[in-house]
Amino acid sequence: MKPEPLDFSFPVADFDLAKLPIDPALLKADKAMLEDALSGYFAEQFKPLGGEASIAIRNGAVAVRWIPEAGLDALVDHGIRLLGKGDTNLGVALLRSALARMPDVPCILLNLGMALSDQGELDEALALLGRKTQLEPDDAEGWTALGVALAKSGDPDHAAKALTRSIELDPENGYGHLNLGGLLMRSDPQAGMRHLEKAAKLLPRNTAALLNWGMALLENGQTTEADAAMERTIATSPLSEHAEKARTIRTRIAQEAMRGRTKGALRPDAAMYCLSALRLFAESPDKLQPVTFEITLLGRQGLDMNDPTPKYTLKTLSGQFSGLQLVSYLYVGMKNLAPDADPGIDLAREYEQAQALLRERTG
Amino acid sequence: MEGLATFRHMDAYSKEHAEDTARLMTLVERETGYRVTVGTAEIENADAEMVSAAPSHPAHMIKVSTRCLPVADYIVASQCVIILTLWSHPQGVPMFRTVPEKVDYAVRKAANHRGLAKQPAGMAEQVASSLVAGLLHQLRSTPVEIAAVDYCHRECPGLRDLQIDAMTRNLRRNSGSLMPAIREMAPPDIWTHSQIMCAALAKAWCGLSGSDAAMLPYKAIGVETKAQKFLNLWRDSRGALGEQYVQTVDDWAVELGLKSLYTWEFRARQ
Repeated sequence: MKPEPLDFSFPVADFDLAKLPIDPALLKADKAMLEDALSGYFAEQFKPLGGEASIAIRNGAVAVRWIPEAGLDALVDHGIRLLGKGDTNLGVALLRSALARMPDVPCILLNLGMALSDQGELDEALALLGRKTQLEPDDAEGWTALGVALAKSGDPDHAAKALTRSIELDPENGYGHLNLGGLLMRSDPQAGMRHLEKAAKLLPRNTAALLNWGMALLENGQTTEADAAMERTIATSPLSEHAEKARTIRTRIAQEAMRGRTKGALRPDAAMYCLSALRLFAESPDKLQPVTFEITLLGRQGLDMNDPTPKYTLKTLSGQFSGLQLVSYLYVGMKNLAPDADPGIDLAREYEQAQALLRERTG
Repeated sequence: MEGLATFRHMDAYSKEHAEDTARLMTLVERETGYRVTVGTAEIENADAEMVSAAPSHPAHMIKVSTRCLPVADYIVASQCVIILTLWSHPQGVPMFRTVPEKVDYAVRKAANHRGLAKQPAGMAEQVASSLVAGLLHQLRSTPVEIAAVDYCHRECPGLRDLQIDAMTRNLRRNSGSLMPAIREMAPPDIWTHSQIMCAALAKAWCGLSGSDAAMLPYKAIGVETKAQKFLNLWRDSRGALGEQYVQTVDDWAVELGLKSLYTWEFRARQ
């Protein structure tokens, strides 16, 4: 017997045109091109599922009729994969169709519930995740997801209970600790920190866990440990948005530590370093670009401005340098090369002082 | 705190990306003797900026646009392939040098086009200058971009999903120049030449991805055959990747009548 077809309807108006390789304004101006592009897009999305897919565009919607080869496993797997890739709308549509045929399959309830929770459709998410925890009350993952959805819906008490249940069931559930820790940081910071520390240990490659642990340490006044956690966040995934945030926080920590040593007053050592940089670049203008460039590269890994030991070397300039010295050189270099760019650290007063000293000494 | 996270499989997903990218960064260091340093920057009109290493700046620097962080691993990988391509030329690293007097002539000619002549005084020449510069930039960058797209598709399966997203974004941006306002303003030869190169990249991607969507707007303006010819010039070129690159730029330039506007210099690999 031929399997029964599944029908999907995707309103064209709801479709995210950014998924297509054509400028949205062009598509809106050319209905035939839009329809061709949409048909192609949906044909591609259903291709990995096997079976037969026919696509038509009518009444402002893309209508897809899909006849599976056998069962709906491929539909469920593909829907979950799309969610993992961030293609939430289509992933949700596929899983909703699968759920209509198989209402009590835990992996559909879990993944669809989590996706809807992320999309802010919290009533439906809570219903699905509640059902999931009824069907599999001993599965920690379901309780974690339910806890997250409850927290998002503004019910921190029940959220904490669900998340606590998840880590009772699986004490090594890093996501349970991460979310419970985040939740408790306001009401019970010490307990929150314990969970976030555990999450950072259990999820050593998860930048959210590392960044949250670092931020908790910072809130607790443990600046050195927070800086180390930020460094790990950057090293784990240097191009992630979490790493960008960690870089900003590291710069702030370094700046505050530097200013803290002189209670906010001008740093004469930094002013002197700025002065020697001004002299260097005036005497050897050919050094300006390579030295600034090399310090910029080195700075991506982080420069320790609060240790006066000359422990850094450059290929483009002989000698050994402290972190503050290199940051001062970088500041002066940036002011020369790109005055409007943000050097990432505020040495404006020291720079001004150095310029005044240079004018004084050169008459 | 940084919000609530639930997707367990996301960790493994991002790890695959990072492995392919790290492998290419190591390969660049081995082949060129300089490491790759990656940063981010606010870049509006491109996915990334790259400065290839030289003795005065002893590292390759890739800056990824902060708008592209979700596909950053692919962007870095493709920039690594561009470095590998350029550094593989037996004569040294090819440097595309424009010939100022020829470019000035092309700018003046473009500025006289009626679409630009409507612009306020001084503006026509400014716009013409950016159009000619843009065309030359496309000429020197599209062939190496196709090389990177091919290579990453073949050698970096872990980056495939990111490549799809990045290429979709890239081709969508390119197709923005098909808007009527731009077409009316730009001199027809510059506009058509630019679209042929955009279409060649789109064609290359359609062949790899199995989807024809990216070619739809170029079919509509009738440049598909020419784009296929340009793509064949790349595919039929021979030698090391760097040689293929230089040969393809030259072949395209002959087709587009741009050959006199630039020369090649080769910087010693050191």
